[in-house]
Amino acid sequence: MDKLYEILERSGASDFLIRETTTCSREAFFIGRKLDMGRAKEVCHTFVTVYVDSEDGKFRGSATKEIHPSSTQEEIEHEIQAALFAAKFVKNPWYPVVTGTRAEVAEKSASDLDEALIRIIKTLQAVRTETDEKVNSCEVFVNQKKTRIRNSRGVDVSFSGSDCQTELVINVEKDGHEIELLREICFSAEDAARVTEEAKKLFLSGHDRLNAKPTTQQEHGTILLTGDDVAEFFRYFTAHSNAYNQYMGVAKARIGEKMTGEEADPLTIRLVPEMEGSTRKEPYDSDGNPVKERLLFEDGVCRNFWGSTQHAYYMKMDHTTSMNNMIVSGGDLSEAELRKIPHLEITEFSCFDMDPVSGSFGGEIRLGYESDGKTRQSVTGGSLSGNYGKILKNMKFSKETRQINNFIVPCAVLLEDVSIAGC
Amino acid sequence: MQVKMSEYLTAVKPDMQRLIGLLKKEFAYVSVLCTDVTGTTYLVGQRQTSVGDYGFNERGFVVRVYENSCYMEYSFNEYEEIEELAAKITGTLKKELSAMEALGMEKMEAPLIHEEKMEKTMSGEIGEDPMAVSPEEILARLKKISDTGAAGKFVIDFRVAAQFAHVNKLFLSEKKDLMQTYAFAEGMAAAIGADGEKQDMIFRGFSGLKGAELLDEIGGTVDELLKLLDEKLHADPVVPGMYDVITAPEVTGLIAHEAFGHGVEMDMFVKERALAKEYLGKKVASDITSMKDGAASAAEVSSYLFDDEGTLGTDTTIIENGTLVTGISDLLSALRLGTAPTGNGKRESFERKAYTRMTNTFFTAGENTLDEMIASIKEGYLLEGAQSGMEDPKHWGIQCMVSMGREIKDGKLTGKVVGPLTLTGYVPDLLKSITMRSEKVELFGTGACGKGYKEWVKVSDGGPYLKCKVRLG
Repeated sequence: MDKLYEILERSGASDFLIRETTTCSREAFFIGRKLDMGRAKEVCHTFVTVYVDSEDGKFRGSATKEIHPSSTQEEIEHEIQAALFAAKFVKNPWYPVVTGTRAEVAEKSASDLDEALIRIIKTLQAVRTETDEKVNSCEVFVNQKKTRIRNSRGVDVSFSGSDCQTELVINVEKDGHEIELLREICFSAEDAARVTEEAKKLFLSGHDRLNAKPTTQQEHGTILLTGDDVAEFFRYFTAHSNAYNQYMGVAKARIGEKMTGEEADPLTIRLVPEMEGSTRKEPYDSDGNPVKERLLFEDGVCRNFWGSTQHAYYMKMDHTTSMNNMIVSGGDLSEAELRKIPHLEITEFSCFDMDPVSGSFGGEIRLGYESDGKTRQSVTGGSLSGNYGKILKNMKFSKETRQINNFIVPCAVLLEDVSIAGC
Repeated sequence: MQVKMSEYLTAVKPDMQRLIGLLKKEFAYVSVLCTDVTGTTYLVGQRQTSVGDYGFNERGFVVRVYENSCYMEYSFNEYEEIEELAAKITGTLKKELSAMEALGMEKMEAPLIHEEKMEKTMSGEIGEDPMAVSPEEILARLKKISDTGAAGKFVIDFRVAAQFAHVNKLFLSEKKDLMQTYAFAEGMAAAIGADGEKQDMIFRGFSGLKGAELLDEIGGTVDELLKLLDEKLHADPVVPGMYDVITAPEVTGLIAHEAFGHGVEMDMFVKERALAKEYLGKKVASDITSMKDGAASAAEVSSYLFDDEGTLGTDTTIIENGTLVTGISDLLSALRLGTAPTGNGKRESFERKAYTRMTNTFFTAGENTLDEMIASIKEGYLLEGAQSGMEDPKHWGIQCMVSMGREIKDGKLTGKVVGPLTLTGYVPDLLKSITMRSEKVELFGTGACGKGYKEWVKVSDGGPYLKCKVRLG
């Protein structure tokens, strides 16, 4: 990186940033319980952003290029000059880069990747199945990353970390009819037991899906969201408090104003830099800015925005942070109390789609449960369509919360006046 | 102009040939895929402009070896001495495999790859070299389009993007020596607007084996996008239910991709994850329905000479007159199934595993005009604007998110618009309900396709206008 830094120093750039990440991985792919393929990876990616200020200092252009480790000095110089040339024509209002942070976060002892891989494979092998259940296939990824960020204003930080990822596909069979469910699980290396818990839950869902009836149509239904997509549901609020979206004029959150209705449960959302069991622990964001705790919403009122240094400057924010982990506080009622309200609980979508611009959300229902508040019948098929414009006024969420990798969110969210296309 | 091969790949070729020679002393099969994909993305809006790398840029290597009846791979993007690299790859892969073998696990045995001697090169062609056009001119042309769009009613921002990609790949093994270089362009125009509390976005994609000439296409759609934005902002929700619909070519493509494209990826046959395996040679669609996929089936963003496993691209007929003829396949799945690979082994990048992936997937054309199709519907919708979708090969479910539907009553468009829409259904029901097809196929190559929730690759999809029956919500 020193050679690259020197080239950038004499390049004529108004400012520059280098972000280099080295990743070592081990991967294993299984069909059933049999090994399909093993893979290993050692790669280094270096991204350079050059900034060019206009003569009057009002505008700042930038361009980002990856500089390959195999590049010669001549190639690097050519790439940087090309980026500088392009940046000259990018006329964004001036903004600063991060200044002055120097830190090397103590490197976590790099564990043997093969051992880490074997530990997860053993956990997966220990998943117990009944005669009508099977692990169809799974993929395991174990990654160790080391990142260094330097810029022209004194930032020089480095940190390391590891994470694991599993894609697990299971089958459950009844009377010759077999169904499958898929779960992508991200977890920290020390939290491998989560795979077993998720597998257990998946098999239970699989049995319910086998016994499911067609979903009933409702033009103005009440639903209880309880699957992993609860995290995606709450991402609407982080999108609307994001400085980029605010600057672009598409975000609806306003500082000091309530975003939810008077009848809705109090919405409180915090960003935190670290969370036990989460794969997101980076102490600095891609600009080299420290990741900090930040209160975004308190009782439904927007207290702060978050986002990049550039957009924070445009929004006149004193300080900012990026998002590693999000905590959404629980609501007023317990999950059991919410379940007493007649509803359609949806636990599995084909793909839950949430568009923060239009506020529309929905997806095909792979597994749900229709309940009159007392009895419960699993259902499948059809789709959900809703809009935040309608549900913000009175949405409710459970007191109890649960962790989904880097999100802690209420276990259940009750939404009224949504449309269910039955089948 | 003819696209030029990467000088970098040409320079490293002797090193990689030596690496294969060294690794062949240790492994029964060795191949190396070398990639060098370069490109630039230009994005202009009213409030911000950006220039950066194309999202699929990459430069690196993936080595595949055969060891103890199992394939292993090693990805890297830097090396100094080839002998040292060969020793590192050998040591790393043997250690990983032996650690897994020590657990006593069974292997999903795969036959050894047998290759015929093959030397081929391919060099694509585009119109105007984007590298010969100054970033100043590209940004100025995009800004002009953005400014024109931003003056429209209801518009908050009008964003325009152009991406120019140059793909270079080299596949080497003991018997294969394949090189290809081609270029393509992608563009996007998006109008974001609001009226009162309602806010929405509408976009159009542009793509092809093209160069800077794509910029002209983007500029020609501003008025149409502003009209669509107005319509979408004032769209009503649809009453959920089953409807006769006509799918515009981009929605047809989304159905081809999600409904049956993913369903015939033959790595899913190996895993018993695809219902289609049981329907080969059987009727799965109406008699007029035919569907294709292949790197050689069309000229779009996924048209290439060879795939990421060194198999030549083909033109595969998946459904012919309603009958499921074959699936599409990567090399290792074909070896296990005893079928011929179809050149569909693709990787997200050199860093990822190869899976069976789609290339250019589309329903073939028919003989109807759009007017005839609209006139044939008593009550239904003309569906426009593909947003996203999700596959379900095991159960043949389908989910497609569609931007809007134009109401048709008594054979005429009423002017009423509904949206956004979730299109769902059971794939064979949907395919068997296809009763009319328009005369022209259009393909769309913007965006990317994932497998499950990851492994993003470039694909195109499309088809003609189709008349069919679907569930809308």
